[in-house]
Amino acid sequence: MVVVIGDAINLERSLYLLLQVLELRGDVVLAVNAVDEARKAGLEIDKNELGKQLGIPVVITSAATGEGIEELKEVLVKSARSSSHIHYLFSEEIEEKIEALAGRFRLVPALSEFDGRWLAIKSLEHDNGVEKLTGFKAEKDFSSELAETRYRYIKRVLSTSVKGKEKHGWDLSEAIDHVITHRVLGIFVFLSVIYIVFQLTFTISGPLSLLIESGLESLGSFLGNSIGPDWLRSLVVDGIIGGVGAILVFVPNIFILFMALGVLEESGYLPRAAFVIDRLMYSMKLSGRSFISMLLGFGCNVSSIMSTRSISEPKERIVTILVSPFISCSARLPVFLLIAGTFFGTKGGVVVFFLYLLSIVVTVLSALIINRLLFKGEPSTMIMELPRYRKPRVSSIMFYTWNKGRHFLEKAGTIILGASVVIWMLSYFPAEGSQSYAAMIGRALEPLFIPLGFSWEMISSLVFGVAAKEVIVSSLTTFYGNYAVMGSAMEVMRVAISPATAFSFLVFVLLYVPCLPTLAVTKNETGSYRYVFFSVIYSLAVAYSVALAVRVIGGLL
Amino acid sequence: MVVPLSRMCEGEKGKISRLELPVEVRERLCGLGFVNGEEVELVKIAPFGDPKVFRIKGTNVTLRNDIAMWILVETSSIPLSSAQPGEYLVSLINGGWGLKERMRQYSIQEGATVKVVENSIRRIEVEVHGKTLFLSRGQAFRVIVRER
Amino acid sequence: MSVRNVSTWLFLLGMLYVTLAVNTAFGFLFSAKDLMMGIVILVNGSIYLFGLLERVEDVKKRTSHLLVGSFFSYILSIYQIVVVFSLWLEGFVGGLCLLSVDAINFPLLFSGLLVSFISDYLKKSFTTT
Repeated sequence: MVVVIGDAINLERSLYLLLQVLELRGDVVLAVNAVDEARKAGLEIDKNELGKQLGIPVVITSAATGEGIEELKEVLVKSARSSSHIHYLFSEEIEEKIEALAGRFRLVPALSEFDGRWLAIKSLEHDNGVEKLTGFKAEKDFSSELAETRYRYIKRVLSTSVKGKEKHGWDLSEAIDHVITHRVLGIFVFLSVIYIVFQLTFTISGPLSLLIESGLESLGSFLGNSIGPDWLRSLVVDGIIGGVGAILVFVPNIFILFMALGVLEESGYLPRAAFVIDRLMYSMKLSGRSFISMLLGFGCNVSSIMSTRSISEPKERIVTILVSPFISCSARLPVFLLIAGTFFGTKGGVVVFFLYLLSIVVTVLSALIINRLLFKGEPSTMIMELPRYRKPRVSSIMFYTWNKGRHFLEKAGTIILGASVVIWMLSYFPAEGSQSYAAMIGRALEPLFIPLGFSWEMISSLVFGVAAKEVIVSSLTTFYGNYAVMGSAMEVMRVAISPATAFSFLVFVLLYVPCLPTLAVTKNETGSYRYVFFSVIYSLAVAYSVALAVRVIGGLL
Repeated sequence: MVVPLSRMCEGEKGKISRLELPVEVRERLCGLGFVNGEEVELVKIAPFGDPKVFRIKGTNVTLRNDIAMWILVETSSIPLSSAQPGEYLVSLINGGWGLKERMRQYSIQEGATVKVVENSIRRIEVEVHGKTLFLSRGQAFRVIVRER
Repeated sequence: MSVRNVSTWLFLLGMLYVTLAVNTAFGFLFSAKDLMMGIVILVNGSIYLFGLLERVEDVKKRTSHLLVGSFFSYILSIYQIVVVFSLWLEGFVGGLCLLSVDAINFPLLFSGLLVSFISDYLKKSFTTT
């Protein structure tokens, strides 16, 4: 059973899809969705007439108001597997050809699992996949005749089943589009919107994080007083509550960021943003679709890489996979927030904004370089529909936010919990502080980082950060927490590290090796370790050189 | 006149006459309504001139120039430079602010009526509001008119 | 709204928001110094002012500048309210008072709320046509 969901305002095109599905199989139900908007626009849809003409069950629904959803469920349960509904709507000449071809294909045993008529239509349209399958090439391409006939048929169906005036003149969507995608203003509006979104996440989450922090603090001191052995108390209080707690503090931040992105997506602004900046993507041989993937990367690089499946051009896909780890994911945000907040105070928002800008710049340049280095491919074609503007619904935004933010909580419960325990062990044994295993690792690598001025604590936390970038926060707090006699780990850090070093550390965190899950997905999606190695080495080189540049410039100022 | 979709001006309409594109792309475009004889309007050009938004069958679809240049449309508009003597309406002036301003001084602006008196090889003699003036071929090429 | 009205509003609000932008960027009156926010407000101002560059006969285009501009202003003042609220909350949690006249940026806040009436009025006029 297949449900084709059509758009009530734009039934003509939805029915085109329906006709194509009907060519493939007969057990189809048409759900005409967004009927509330159609009514507002003055359209009246006669579902009985529509169903009679098409020969399939038709349900009128609205996901926004919940209208017709129950009916759809009932119809789905009731309608048994019906036979196919073939519409012989093409011209006699073409129908004859289809019949002849279909008869031929039906005799081929290898093609028995496909519908003969469908194969015939597809091969008349010169469909590459079907041509390969059947080994037959029609002498002439009939695809435009077929498409025109379908649309003519649809017009006839709609003329009796849909009543309403055709809209003329400007509606609200068009008016908004005129300014939002304005030749000059478009880009600036886009930048302002992104700036406000990031500032908003920064400010709203401030007090919420403070609440969580104070809650964890009292939990820590309560457990600290009630647990007996020294090592166990240290494990629970410093290791687990310190490590996982440092992440939990950023939960409000991440959820609010996703909520804001959800509003932008639901309202229909995101495709416009893709449209406005497409020319820029095009100049690095990418498209608006890879822009959407990269945008998801602001949440998590893993989901960004997984979403590249929708990019049809393989080269563009690989470039997108390789560059999207440079997009600053939400896991890096805690590190930025902690360090920017500690060193730059109220200017923290600006610092984070510039880090995001830097991540975009590096992504763009890397796309250019990798394109030059690995491919000289033609860009893929971008065809995108601009949806109508909608008032975002609270329920769907909550759903969106929870869906995206959930991963963060899951990570906090699994990887980060585990990593916190490991880090605690490495920093507690054989002796606490500067004699620990972690310190040894850090010191071993220290000579490499002398130009950047990173201390062994920072280097060790970077090593742990490969597991997941959030871990950097918890390991930094654990290491510096060891020194803290009075006051917090942040205060110790503020004394120990200069602002220029802190900034170059931020840059390094932004750009260095993608986290383990990202590398694993890269392997899965590209199917080769070659790209994984490339990704690791390339990102390390970029991180080191940019961080060095930042430190040198920062030292001069 | 038949022009590629990418050469249309903002606000211009036309009927699709041919798609010269590979099958996969054409199939997607067919699904969106780009079939022969369908009316299409160029709604909007992006900040850097590419991509463009087209309205087809009541929805807005963005296409890049590298696709739009292979879709041919029949527009009722022609450049003034190839207009035979007769009366025309100015559809739009395909040029920068300077050209538009100059044309405005001749009272040639969008929606104005222009009468072509003579179309010779070197210049075009037109009559606007009872005044006769001569336009160079270059200028006339950028003034797009449609028949009344 | 007639063309003349729309144009007048575009001019007045454009000037108002450019002034607000300068005020916020340098922190002159009832405002904390915030360069980035100043630039964002300047973008808002230019949405209005660019409307004046549209041809006079294109009422719809001019109106849409006013519509989007006023909606943007409204969003800015909602943003300002949220910022003020979270400042208060943060102070409340930490047992301090972080609020001050400058932090609230009254000029931006009130103009946005007043302009929201225009946005509302125009939205209705668009949906009926």
